Amino acid sequence: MAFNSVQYAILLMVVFALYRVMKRREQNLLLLAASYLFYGFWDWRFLSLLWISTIVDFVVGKRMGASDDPVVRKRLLITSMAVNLGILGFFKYFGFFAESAGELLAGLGLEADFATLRIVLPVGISFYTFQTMSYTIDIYRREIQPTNNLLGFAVFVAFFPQLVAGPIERAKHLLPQFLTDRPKVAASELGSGLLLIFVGLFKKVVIADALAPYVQEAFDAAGTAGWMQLLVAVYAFSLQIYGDFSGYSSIARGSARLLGIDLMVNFNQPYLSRNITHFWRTWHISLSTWLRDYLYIPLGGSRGMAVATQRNLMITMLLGGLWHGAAWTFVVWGGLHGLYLAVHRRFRHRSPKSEMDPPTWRDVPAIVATFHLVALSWVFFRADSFTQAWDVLVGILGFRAADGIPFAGLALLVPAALAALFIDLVQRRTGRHDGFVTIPAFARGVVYGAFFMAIVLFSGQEVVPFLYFQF
Amino acid sequence: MRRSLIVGFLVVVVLLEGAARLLAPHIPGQLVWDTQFTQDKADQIAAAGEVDMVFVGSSVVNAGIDPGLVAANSRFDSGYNSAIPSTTPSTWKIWMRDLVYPDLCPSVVVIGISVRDYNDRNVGIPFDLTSYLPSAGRLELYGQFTSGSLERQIGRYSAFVRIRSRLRQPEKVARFLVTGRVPGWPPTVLTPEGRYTGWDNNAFVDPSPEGIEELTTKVFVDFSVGGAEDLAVRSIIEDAQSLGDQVVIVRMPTMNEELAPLLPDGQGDLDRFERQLEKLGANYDVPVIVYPDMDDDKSLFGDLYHMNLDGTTEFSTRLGRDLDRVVASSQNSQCGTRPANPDFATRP
Repeated sequence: MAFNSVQYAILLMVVFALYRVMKRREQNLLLLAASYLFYGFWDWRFLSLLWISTIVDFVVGKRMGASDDPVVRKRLLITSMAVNLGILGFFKYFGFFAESAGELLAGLGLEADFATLRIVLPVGISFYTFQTMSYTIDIYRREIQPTNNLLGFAVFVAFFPQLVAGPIERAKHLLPQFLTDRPKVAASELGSGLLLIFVGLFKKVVIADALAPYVQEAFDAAGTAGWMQLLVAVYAFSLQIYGDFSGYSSIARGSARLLGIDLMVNFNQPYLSRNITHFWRTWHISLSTWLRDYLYIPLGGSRGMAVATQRNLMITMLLGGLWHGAAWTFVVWGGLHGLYLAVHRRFRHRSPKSEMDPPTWRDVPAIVATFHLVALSWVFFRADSFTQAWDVLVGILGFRAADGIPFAGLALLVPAALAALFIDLVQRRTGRHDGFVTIPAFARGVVYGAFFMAIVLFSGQEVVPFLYFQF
Repeated sequence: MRRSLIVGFLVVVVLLEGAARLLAPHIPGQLVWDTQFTQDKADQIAAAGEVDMVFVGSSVVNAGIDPGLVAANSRFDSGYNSAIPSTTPSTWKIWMRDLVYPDLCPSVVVIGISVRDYNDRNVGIPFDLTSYLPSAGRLELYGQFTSGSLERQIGRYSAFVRIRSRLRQPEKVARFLVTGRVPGWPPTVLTPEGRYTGWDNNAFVDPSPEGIEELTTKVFVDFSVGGAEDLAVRSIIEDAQSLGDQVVIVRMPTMNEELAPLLPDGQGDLDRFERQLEKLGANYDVPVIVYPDMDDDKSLFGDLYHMNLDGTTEFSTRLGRDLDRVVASSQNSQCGTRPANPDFATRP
């Protein structure tokens, strides 16, 4: 059930209507039922994986909280990690590693008959396993107390607005919201939630889905397309993935807000970043902070020598790439970002500004340069294979001859880019993701009218699945 | 404050709707059927009324038979070329039941078949049943409600909704407004009798390496006759005969000498195809018309199987005379009715 489907609109409306007249326990039951229904729409069989993660981490959390024995606590943590990473590893990476090992041995002239199973990837598995793992790790670190409320915990794991593509929430932020009474949602919060859904829908339908066919066509013809067509396609994909994923996150946050639940910000105008470090503090924030807290810092973070820090960055980003998908193209994507971050870390002291200082007009060249570094990495992220990525890069950098200026792509790319930039600038200036509420009423009406008509224009086409559902 | 917001919203909606209303008469409407060809033909059939003859087939017939010329050279008054490009008999059978028999009520059905249309293992037909069966135009023909139905209902009141599928391609809209021509957009250059004129002025063009590869690896791959496509032609004949229509099979002329090397068994496959048509004719007591002297005459073709204007003129003239000869004069045909349980499923 995709967010941009009629089924989701009906589900959300029914849940919202019932939720308003229920007490907390009943609300949690409703949210759990809705979440399982939402997930079961893809494949009800994989609900069992969700239940395994839920039960294992609930029990592990309770026992860990009840024990002061470091050995017992460590064993329990390992149990949780083994179950969650075992599920993730089997369903997401088994085929990849078996195939890669087979290819490696074949390259050495050895016949290897790996029985590679055709394993279906359960939707959202990377998201909810990371979310539940953070719960047990935080208990192990004594940063949070375990909960005794199985219902609340089950909703925390399966909460439908963020179940299949995040944000990857932390227990300390989301779980308490299911364990305590929630105040009735104020009208302003409802308006804000609806606005987040509206803007998210615009980003998904008008920016991402409108560009998707052009990107597909260009990448399919990577070996023959001209350099301008490929360049426009790379820019278009950069916008497509941003519109798609930040649009999803916005709809998730808006849906949750209608129910009085606050989800963390997952995107903060990442393409307005002045450097790559800033980019990673504003792009897929829930994943980058997860990787920082549970991987980069335990590896040593930036506490050691410069070389060690750069190694830690590289390991973190390589694994971050692999988190996205079981393919070497994702590993290269992560490796590129690891390289960018390591190089930036080496030279960032030369900049008079902190990477988190708000950008100004004088930062435009740096913003453009950062965007292009990110866009380069998206080539590997989007490509089906190294060959395709290579064809795209050779086509662009070799100025492969083309039929002419790709007006069809530009006619979609330019308005989409301006719309994305407009939304980002409003959010940046107001400091709010629902920043449109602060602009004068007439202008706001004009913006809403334009967004509405654009959604009407691009909706009703073949539904393009959210890109991050595959992860 | 709320009033200002609503006014601002409505200003944009009204402005964009107004712009769409200005633009709508100058660009084509929404595609309802699976291709522009089926849509244009469905529109023509709806407006045509009853005709004496219909011609059914693929693009080979679509380009190669001029119903006006056939009528002018026969005793029949009117005809319609209902052939659809990139299809095989499996689609023709359903297309005939959907629109041709019920709306055109022909008394003569001419089935034009080329070797390209008849391979049961053909995997090179891009638009065939998979897209035709569940197309919105067809679903609505049978009273099925689709999301497209709702869109068209709203489109009756809103030009913006009505032309939105075109507006999603702003570059094509601009090109259409400036040049009047966009590939794949109407007009598809059909005559009022349904014939495609796109090949008319073509001198013979040798097939490209890609075209040859498509023929050998898809269209003619594992060439086999006597299976599903043959059954579909039999159904067309039986449907027509059950309505009292006269049926004629025409083996369409093609560049056989150049096609033979592309078939797995060469001339043997061409012979097998021709024998199968003769067998069909004998089984159903249907005349089979063949003009072997037109095969392989490059001056009559635009490519290996599509006739140009010279070919179409000669072929249609001769066909008209021969129809006069082979079709019995007394007929008692009736209109068809649409099937009660049409198939809407997509096919793999």
